[in-house]
Amino acid sequence: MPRSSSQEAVKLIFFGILGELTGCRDAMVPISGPTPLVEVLAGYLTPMQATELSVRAWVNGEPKSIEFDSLVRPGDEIALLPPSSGG
Amino acid sequence: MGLDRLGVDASKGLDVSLESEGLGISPDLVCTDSDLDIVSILEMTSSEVLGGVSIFVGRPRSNGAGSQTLGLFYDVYEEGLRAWLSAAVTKLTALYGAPLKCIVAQRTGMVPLGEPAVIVATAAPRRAEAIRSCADLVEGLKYQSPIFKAECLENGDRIWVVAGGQLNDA
Repeated sequence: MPRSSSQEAVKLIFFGILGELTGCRDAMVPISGPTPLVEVLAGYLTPMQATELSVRAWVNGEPKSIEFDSLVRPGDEIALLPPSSGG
Repeated sequence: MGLDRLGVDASKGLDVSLESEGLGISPDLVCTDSDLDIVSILEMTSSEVLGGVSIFVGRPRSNGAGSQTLGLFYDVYEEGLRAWLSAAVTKLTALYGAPLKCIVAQRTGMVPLGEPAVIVATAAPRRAEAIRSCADLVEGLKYQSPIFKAECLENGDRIWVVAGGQLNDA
């Protein structure tokens, strides 16, 4: 799986069951420009897994879901969330 | 009830007077891996103008005889939860037309059976708004907020759950 600590990267954070599925809490994925989220996730989650698990993606702490074909940019922080289960 | 109320886009139009009072727009969130202290959370609602306080305490429970559940493990997207809570309280304040002070305390990590995992406290000028907004907030936390939990079993396994089901089979 790609790893990077440079500014030209997207940070992925996996919550709940996604952390167990991917084997990591977070990851830095190098990209050189706007890139579809589905490409950034390659190696971590397949589109089928994301669909089956109803995964939502929040960008930079904003409670707005984005689609998996949406473009993400270097420096973005993407939180990958399974369905809520509450307190 | 709460789902419908919190699902609408009511993020605008707070009364300026509420903002000047510091009420209804700045909910407090406590996320900790330590025990939750209900007294200190109650104290956080202190106000001379908010006469009603409603408190909900949620704690892991056994599934009955033969249950292998030791407790629940909580994983929280704290930044997201803070954003969600702020939006939810803004909506509730507009919905009830009353200033609210809302506190959510969420424990993280493993919480044994019977120990408080979440405490929600809402204070309003009168009891009706306090009780209803507390119920709405609890429902919203359950179904919408970025909180994730798993049952911790005696054999060491974790079973991730969603409201009303399990995730591990997905």
